[in-house]
Amino acid sequence: VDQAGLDELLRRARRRDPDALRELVAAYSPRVFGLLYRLTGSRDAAEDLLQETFLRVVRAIDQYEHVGKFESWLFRIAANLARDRARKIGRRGESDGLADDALNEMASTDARTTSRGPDNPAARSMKRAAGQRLAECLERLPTADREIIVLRHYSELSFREIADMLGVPLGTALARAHRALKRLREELTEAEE
Amino acid sequence: VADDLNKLEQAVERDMDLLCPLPAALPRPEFVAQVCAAVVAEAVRAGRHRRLWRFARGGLAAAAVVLMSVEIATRLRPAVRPVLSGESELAAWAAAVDESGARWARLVETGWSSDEPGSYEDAELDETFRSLEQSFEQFESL
Repeated sequence: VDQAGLDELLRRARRRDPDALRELVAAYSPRVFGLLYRLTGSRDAAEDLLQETFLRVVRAIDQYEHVGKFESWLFRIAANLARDRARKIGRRGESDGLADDALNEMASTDARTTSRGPDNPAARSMKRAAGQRLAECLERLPTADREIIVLRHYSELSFREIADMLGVPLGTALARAHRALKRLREELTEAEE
Repeated sequence: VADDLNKLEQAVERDMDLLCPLPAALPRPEFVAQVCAAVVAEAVRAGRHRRLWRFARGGLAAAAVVLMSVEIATRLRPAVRPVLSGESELAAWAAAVDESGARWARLVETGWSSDEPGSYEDAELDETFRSLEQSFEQFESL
């Protein structure tokens, strides 16, 4: 959605125009779901939180002032919900469910990725395997580290905006992302060996 | 410091390419349709709540205006000199109730509870009713 289109869409959504709300869900649900899936590691949990995210958006949309980026508001709601869920699970002493169905993602490979990818089936298979390995290594990162790089990947917000969203200084956000990426690379190297 | 931050940001942005091969996980289309339906239903519900709240707020404002008008009209009305103060009216009523109660008790003890029906005196009964009436009158004047 380009900026002008988004402005118009939000103007209509504030009036609770059903078509505008449907368009918002359709436009943003892939990225929000991607974020939630990487944060929770569970398709069911990600779906629940995706619905809750958009319900919260529609409840508060008339109070939302479109001065900054809509993505910043939307992804903050989603990330907070994922964090609340992790906290609740932590309090109950359960596992956070990571990797419970992460392996199923091979079947749901993004059409965008495959369309850009090589036509050679062997190369595609290797790419899938690499993607799968990356997803598994990502899940082994500490939650806060994973959160920041996954947020950057899916929200397409700058680190400055993400730092604002998380309420941390830019330096802290960057240091956390740097550490997460370094650790991810180490995990990948280990997995390849 | 700003320069260091910029350099770090550029380095981290470059490293973010590491995540490019990450397979995208997409929500099921039927689930997205379900979310759309839930969101539209929530919008309708929220709109209804808003209209109700606006209506209730309007009603409350109107009621407040009426109350204020009554209050102002009451204050503007010339004060009527009270015959009795509130406390003395209450005391008079309490005394009348006591007296009437005592008369009833006497009547019951000496009359209706007696083995011989009709042994009570008519004058006593009249007086009892009169005192009861007085107590009601006192109560009405409160």
